[in-house]
Amino acid sequence: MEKILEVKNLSTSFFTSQGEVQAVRELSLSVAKGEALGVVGESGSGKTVSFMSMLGLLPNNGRVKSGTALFNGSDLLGLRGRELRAVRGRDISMVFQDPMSSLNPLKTVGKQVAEALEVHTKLSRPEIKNKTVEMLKLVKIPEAEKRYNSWPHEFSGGMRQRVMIAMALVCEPQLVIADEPTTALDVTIQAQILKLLRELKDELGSAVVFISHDLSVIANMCQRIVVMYGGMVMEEASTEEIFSYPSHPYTMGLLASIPDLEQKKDVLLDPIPGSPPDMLAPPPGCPFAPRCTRTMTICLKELPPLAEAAPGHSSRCWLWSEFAPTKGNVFKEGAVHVKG
Amino acid sequence: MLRVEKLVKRFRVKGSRNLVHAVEGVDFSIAPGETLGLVGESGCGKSTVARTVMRIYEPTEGSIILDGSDISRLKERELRPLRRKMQMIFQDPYASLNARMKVRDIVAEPIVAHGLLESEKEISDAVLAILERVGLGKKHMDRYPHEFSGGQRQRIGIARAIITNPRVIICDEPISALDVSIQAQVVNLLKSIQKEKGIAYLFIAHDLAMVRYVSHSIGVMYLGKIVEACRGDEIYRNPLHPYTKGLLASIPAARPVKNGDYLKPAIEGDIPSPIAPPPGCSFHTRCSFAMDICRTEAPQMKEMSTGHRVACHLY
Repeated sequence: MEKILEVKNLSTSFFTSQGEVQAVRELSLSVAKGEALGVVGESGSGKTVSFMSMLGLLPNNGRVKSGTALFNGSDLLGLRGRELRAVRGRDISMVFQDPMSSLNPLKTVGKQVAEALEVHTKLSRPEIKNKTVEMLKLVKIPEAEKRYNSWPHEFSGGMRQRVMIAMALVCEPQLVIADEPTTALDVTIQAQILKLLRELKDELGSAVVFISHDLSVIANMCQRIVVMYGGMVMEEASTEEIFSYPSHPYTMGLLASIPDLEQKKDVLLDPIPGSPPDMLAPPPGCPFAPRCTRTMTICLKELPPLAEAAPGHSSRCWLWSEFAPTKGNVFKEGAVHVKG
Repeated sequence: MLRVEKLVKRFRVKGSRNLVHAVEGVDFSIAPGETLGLVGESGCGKSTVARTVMRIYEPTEGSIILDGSDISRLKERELRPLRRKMQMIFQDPYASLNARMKVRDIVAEPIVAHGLLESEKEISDAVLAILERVGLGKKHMDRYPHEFSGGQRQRIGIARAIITNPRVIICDEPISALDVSIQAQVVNLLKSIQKEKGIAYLFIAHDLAMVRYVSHSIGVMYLGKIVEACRGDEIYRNPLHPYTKGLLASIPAARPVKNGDYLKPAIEGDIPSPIAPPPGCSFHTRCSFAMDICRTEAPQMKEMSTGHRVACHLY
């Protein structure tokens, strides 16, 4: 598959009065043309910051420390102001979580969708208007011609998210980064928006990076999943593999802590103990080691490499690494890990 | 323990004669040691129910019977001694703790306000005991809320709620602001505290799987009314109201999708405005089974089997 985005060793930090917060550490991932990639992780795991870094949207105290992000062969991290603006909104666009605060309350809905066309294309005004109305119809806003002149506050949450999606897709971008696009919505509306995103992706052929904390939502959208924790990729595999054969204890823990509709009521849930790591001073070994039930001696000392757990399935865990020491590798409870 | 009858809460829209019909006749009761789960989309009035029951809002009509006495019309002064029997846990653990107070003072505040304990030593011991119960400790007592993670803050909120030995706790979306791995921790804690102390919970949430897991009975709300209610998890096995069916069908399953069988939207459109709720059954605008009668006449609650009630003209 031809790769549209290839990120290598991206590290981003925030410099705060308390010190350096290492939000993203040595992140590598790629997105193929037309693919839907799911990025899952808890708040603070670095999933949003990594994509904000690539698009030059970090706040003032954030800095990309190293890495490359090749988009169609050119490095996004090397682009400056105007060059980046030409890509952003035309070739790569974003859908944000909160449609209430991401729309401009002082501009009509139609004008906001049209803005990307005004900036990025040479279309005439009537052409822009036509294309905008067409886009509003495509995201299933009823009476699109009339609604063109509506204000964001006249729309419900679900309708605003449709407008956000129209804004992101109006220039037919090659890559859409959807950051928790359904988290603020009710389940009934979430199902509507997920269907819309799937249909538009197929129709326009755009690749989608779908960021979410919810594995079940991602399962309904993406063929491949990257699991992030402590600013790093912990596991990467097809959706099928992640659910059927999760190989990282964090992924297993995530799957176990979601109650489904068959959950026995008299049995306590199986949560991951503890809290996410403090990225001001991340633990020296595996970031998940302090919460892991299978921690070995080495996990607290050394960061495991991303190793192949199965073909096309990688896992950052000493349990899978061929370089893991064979001697003196003791689990918390005292059992010894035997490889293979 | 807590019984609510024909509860109505309407708000006046500022600068107009319009009313927001937030809650329009809600009935339920909760037994000691049991949990009533209240589910529904945002805007259905579930949080207004919580706040009205707590008397944060004044009820427009109806009665709220706590431990045998009707508190719906009590004056603030008469209400105060009863408040310790009913506490609340809020959704946002960042906004619901005073950032300028130490944890020890936050948790001690209810016992100080109600004058339950006098000496500083007694108060401090009580706070420590409660903090240990929720999985925190002595070292946390003199810290400020910003030093804690979301899950830990929610534990502080729970400690503050249980320190007066309440009979009822209103939990308004207590886990929806937390990460998935932390949600299960907090739910386990709430469940074990309930088992130990026999507290009744009103558990408000939009996560249907979690509500099923914690609740002994469940009410489904739509536009200010309970449209279906049951004991146990009957509505999950045998949902009757088209709205309940649609809600359940909208939950994405935690498993990979096979043969392109993606989640389909089960309910189209949005929840109508509570300023002008549709006449008849308020769900008829989105219901695929709507008949003529649904547009004119509001359905009454009917008991279909023991404890399983539904308000729908289909039955």
